[in-house]
Amino acid sequence: MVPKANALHAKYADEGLLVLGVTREEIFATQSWAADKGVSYGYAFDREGLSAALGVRGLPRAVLVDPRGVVVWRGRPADLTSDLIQATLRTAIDVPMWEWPEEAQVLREAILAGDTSRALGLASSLNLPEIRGVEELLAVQVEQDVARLDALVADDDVLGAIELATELLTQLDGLPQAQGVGEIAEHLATEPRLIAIAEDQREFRKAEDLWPVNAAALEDMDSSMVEAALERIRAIVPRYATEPPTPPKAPARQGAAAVERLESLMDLF
Amino acid sequence: MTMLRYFSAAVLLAALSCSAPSQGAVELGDPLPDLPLVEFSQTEARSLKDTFGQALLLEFFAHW
Repeated sequence: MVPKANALHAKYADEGLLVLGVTREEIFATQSWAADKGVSYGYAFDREGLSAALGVRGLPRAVLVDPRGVVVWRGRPADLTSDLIQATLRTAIDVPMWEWPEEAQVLREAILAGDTSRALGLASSLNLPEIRGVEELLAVQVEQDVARLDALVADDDVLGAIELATELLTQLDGLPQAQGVGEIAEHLATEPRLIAIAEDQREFRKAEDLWPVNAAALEDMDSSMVEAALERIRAIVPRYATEPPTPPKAPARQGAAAVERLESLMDLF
Repeated sequence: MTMLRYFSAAVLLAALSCSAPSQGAVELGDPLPDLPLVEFSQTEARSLKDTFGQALLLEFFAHW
């Protein structure tokens, strides 16, 4: 794994590819290991569940994220092809943000703060070769975020839509897209059917939060609490049942996952 | 909880944490989750937000 990652880092870093090792292990042992193996690329430590959220099962695994921040590939590092990397690099900014000139630091700060509206204004006014492509990339990200919000609403993922809309209202303040997002946010907060779905989704999330972090936490748990949550969720799930070929929407999928997770937990008592 | 049961529960929890369905699994086409990495080494990036505009290849590894 290390030789291939080293080779990708050497070949594509100047074209906008950042190879980053990610581990959940301890810092000291990892540093010694990286030095022994001649790791030439950067690495960082996962303490908040990024690996799990990305569905990383078994090691080694790799995930390729395009310049828009979208996950485009996941698999064994040996299976990643040069064609896919090159296709992903087409819209990449060649120069990483930390190498941008002083004049562009204000743009970097706006991007890091999630102030897309301000970042777009700055990207269009700064005429620097190092930030070529940034304005287009930000504009694509705005369209992508609005499309993602529409998709969440269409999927009845009300809680997900509320969270994204709240985030976007801050990021897009002053841009024309902010008005449409505001209308969606108001609809989500006032439509009785959607309010009811959000309530049910909160129950599913509470079930997710019941999962103990370790065996000691399991020992302290009261099985009747899990049983009660399971009963509540089993009562909710039928509301979202669909007949084939209609695919289940987000609340149906989330409810089924919550039931399965709580049933797994009950088996441990 | 006896020692054996405690050990069994730990093993089962670890196994189920990997296999039990979760509501938050990322699919291809989804944005990279906003979960921070820490202690960046051998790079000037200090967070995933620093990688804006770059293609990012995350290599998940363990040294055991």
